[in-house]
Amino acid sequence: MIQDAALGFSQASQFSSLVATAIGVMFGLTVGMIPGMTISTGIIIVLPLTYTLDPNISIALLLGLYVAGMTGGSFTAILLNIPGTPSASATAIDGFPLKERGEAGRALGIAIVASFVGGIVSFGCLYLIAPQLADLALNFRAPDLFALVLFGLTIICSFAAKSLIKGLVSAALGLMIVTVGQDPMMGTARFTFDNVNLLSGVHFLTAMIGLFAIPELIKSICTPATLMPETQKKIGSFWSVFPRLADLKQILRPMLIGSPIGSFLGLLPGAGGPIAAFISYDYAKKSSKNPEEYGKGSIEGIAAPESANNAVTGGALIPMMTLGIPGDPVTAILIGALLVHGLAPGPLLFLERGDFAYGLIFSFFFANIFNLILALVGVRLLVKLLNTPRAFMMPTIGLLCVIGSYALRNSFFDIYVMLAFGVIGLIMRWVDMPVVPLLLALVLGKPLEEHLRVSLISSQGDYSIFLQSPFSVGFLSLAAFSVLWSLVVVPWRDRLRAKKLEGPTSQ
Amino acid sequence: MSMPLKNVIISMIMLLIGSSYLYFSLQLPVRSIGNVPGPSFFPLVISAIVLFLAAALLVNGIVNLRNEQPQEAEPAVPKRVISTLVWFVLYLIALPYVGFLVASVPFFAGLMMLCEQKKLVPVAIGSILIPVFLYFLFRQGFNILLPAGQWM
Repeated sequence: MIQDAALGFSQASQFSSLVATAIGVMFGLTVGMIPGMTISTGIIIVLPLTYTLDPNISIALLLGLYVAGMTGGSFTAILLNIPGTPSASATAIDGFPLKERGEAGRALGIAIVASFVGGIVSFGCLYLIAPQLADLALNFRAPDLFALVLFGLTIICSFAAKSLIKGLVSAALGLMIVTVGQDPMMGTARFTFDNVNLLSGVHFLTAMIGLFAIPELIKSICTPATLMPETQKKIGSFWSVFPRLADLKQILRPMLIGSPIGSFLGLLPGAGGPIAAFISYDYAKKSSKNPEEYGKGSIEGIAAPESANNAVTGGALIPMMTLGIPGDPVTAILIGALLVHGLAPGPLLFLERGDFAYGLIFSFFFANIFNLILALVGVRLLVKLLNTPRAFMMPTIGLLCVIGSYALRNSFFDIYVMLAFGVIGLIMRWVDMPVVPLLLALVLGKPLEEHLRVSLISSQGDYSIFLQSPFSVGFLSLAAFSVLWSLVVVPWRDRLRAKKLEGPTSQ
Repeated sequence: MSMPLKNVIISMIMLLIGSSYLYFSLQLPVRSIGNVPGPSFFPLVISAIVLFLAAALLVNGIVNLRNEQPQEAEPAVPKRVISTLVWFVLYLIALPYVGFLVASVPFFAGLMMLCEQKKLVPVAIGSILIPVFLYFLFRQGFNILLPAGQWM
């Protein structure tokens, strides 16, 4: 383990990896800042670059983007009151009022430092927990893995906040798409209609480029120029971004609240940055000596959610690396990016490619360091990028979508598939159907079928095999709990909230 | 169009897709080892799930449609969505014949105009320089193959 860690550190600290991390961070800060552009879209844009790069360099670039995208989201939340990413929504509550008081630089500095602390705490969790969890997961057999993947799929419910049925329909659509191509056990061609291109199935990344990037591109093109936000660039002097010692002392407590909450919620598939940010904000406010200042430009109110949403990144990498279960769309794309290089995330990653696994962990560490330095030094320049005309940006994204889907397998067919998924994504937005369940089903569908059928072959068709292992029973119980929570507890809680809101007005 | 009506439409489309999927699943060859599921097992399970969920969505949509309050009409699909998609389709049709570099220039210019860029000089500069830059970056810089044309 120590040898792997040392090798991983040396790989992550190579000049080429560090440069890739720094470029990823710069790009992530930019993408995170632009309202309407998600981190997922940012990763999709740089994805074609990673196809021919060394896996260590590719993952360093993508992790830099992931980490910095979270921080970049807070810039527009503070400057324009428009969160660049959903995770930065809570930051706007206090960030924007502080900016309105003429302290934009101070607010940005607090957000950057809090992001760094959250990221480093979650790096600690990743470094300590991931190898242990991978060791434990090595004991899992096919029925346990089936139950685990099924549990991973039930997180779909948490992404289907508006309509559980639509979330499930979206997931079922993803499972249908996964079955196109050769059957994983016997190689039987399924739903290929004698088309050779369909034999290897729909590539997961092609589908994702279409589902995420094309609808966002079209939405942006359709937004009239008059509705695009004007950028206010009054940040202050270069040094105004660097936090004062008194400020650092004041934000220590909220950061110590936000970082563990974010790391823990990142571990839970589906919880994600926005939830972590709001919970941390709430806890920090309740435990503050000056709760009345929250919402009026309190630096504590910026530090708590920012440390939490960046801590989510390290937490989310734990189930992705050790179990192959994505916790959010970004980690799902990272799984796809690793698969392109023939690296399958899961417990065997630590056993067979321990050096790479630790390299990934240390690249995450360096991404946080670069994020702190580049954001503090470059924020004044980065904000100017907000004024890049979208007439240049959007067509460039369109071309990158085409390059990204073609270069995967050098196939025109994949470009057509990408556009078809773009249309599916547009229709899903039109009917308010979440896209993330479909995406997760595309990642988890194949292992779900494989583990199910391997289990049933080993038990000669006896379904009780799923109730014979404590791991399997545990995961199945968690899956059942997850579904029941979404079916019973969430609607009940929403009704209760609605009643509470109605209460005062009716009296 | 109201959301319940959209739900009814989408559920009917899903019923159609689910039924077709079920039909093709039943056509799959039966190859199994002893008492264990074959290639059609998983698709059949999914068919059942899709049909059940589509039916549930349809019922939900119909019930909500009846209780629906009259709403303001939603604007039709913006022309720009259709224009962008048509432009994409034309680009993809041209791509195998003329290759990335030649096809990308008019595609880029068209999207720039859709983004309300009306001045011709920036359109001309952007639509030539950016595709050329991307071509050299990926083809020469990263050695990534880009769509090549049959004619060019």
